Amino acid sequence: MNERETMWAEAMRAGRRGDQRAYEALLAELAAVLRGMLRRKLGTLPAADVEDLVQDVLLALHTKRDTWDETRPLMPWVRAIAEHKLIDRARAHRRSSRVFAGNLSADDLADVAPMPEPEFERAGLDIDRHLAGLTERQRAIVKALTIDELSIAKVASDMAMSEGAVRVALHRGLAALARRTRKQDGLQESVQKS
Amino acid sequence: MRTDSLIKALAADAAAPARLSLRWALVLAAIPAAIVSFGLLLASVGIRPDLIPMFLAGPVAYKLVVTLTLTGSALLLSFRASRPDEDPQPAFYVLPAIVLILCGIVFEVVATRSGVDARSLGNTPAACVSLILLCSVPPLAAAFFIMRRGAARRPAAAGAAAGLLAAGIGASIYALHCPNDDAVYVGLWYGLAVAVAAGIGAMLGRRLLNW
Repeated sequence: MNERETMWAEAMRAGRRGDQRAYEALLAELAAVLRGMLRRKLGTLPAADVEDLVQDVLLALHTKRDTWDETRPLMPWVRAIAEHKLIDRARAHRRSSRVFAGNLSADDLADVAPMPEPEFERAGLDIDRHLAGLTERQRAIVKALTIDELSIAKVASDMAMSEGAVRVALHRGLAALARRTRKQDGLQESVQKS
Repeated sequence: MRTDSLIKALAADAAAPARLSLRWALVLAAIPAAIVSFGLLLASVGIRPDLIPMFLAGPVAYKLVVTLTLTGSALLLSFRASRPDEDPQPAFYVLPAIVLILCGIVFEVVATRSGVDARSLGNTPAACVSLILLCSVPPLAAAFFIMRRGAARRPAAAGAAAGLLAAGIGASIYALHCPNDDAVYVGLWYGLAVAVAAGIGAMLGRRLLNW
């Protein structure tokens, strides 16, 4: 486990304890590294599609945090989740395996240059679409916290809800979003191998 | 939405809700599920009248050792299969129970000097298999309910693990009724029920344990 991985693992643990700042920094760094690695791997894919995938992976990393065993290395777990989402997207696009081929090796993540978020508008449309599947309240809250970047306290007062209620709605809204980014079962091939 | 906006929302949801780990949730959920299965057994065919003596004499205890061993292995398998960074092989986890079955058969063949006979095939194997599967339904439902929280590398394998777990519990409950004490019978028909449950679990897992 290299130094960066150790720091990230600590940030993940801190996040679980409620350290929002550490967790946000971790997610931002992971996003940059994932983006760099996926761009390199999926060169022919439009950058916006890669960004959709980065968002899928981040959402999955968050909603499935429980499945990381703190006594085990973080990066194999991150890699496994990224692989899973990669395969999902490959099936959904019905592309032949060439573009999305293979597993993500340890090298892919270890020393790849982190890439900052691109500046165009088109990215992240997939998640925007999936917002339609949330309840009205969840959608409003997720939008307020993401697109509008308001704080929980502000959202609570704007919507005349308690902060606790906002947190619960956010949590459920994110879980619902994560479920919707799962590709349709019907598109899966009969042979499920990772 | 922009990725950094998404990250802000995820960070706002940072504090993890305090709850039971998946491992313990599975163990705890098994208890009410087993009780429901027991209720199903009582409501349908009831327990065998000679349960206590046959437990003390050996056959029922033997069946329970086999089924509970399967249950324990399957519990471990289900837990490991619910993680994205692990890829446990189900066959490996079924091995202990299989070894116990084989030991039982060898012991019986040596002790009674008979091999596969009419008792081995039993009168109503279809009822046996069906009842085990019936008693496997509540634990299967409970297992899936819990395992949906997970992130299985291979959802079908995780589903199969849940099927094995459910069949282990179902067979344990059924052993309280099962009138046939032949070791070959147990290996054959309990084994078939377990295999069917694993297959059903795999099919369901493919659909329900995605993430």
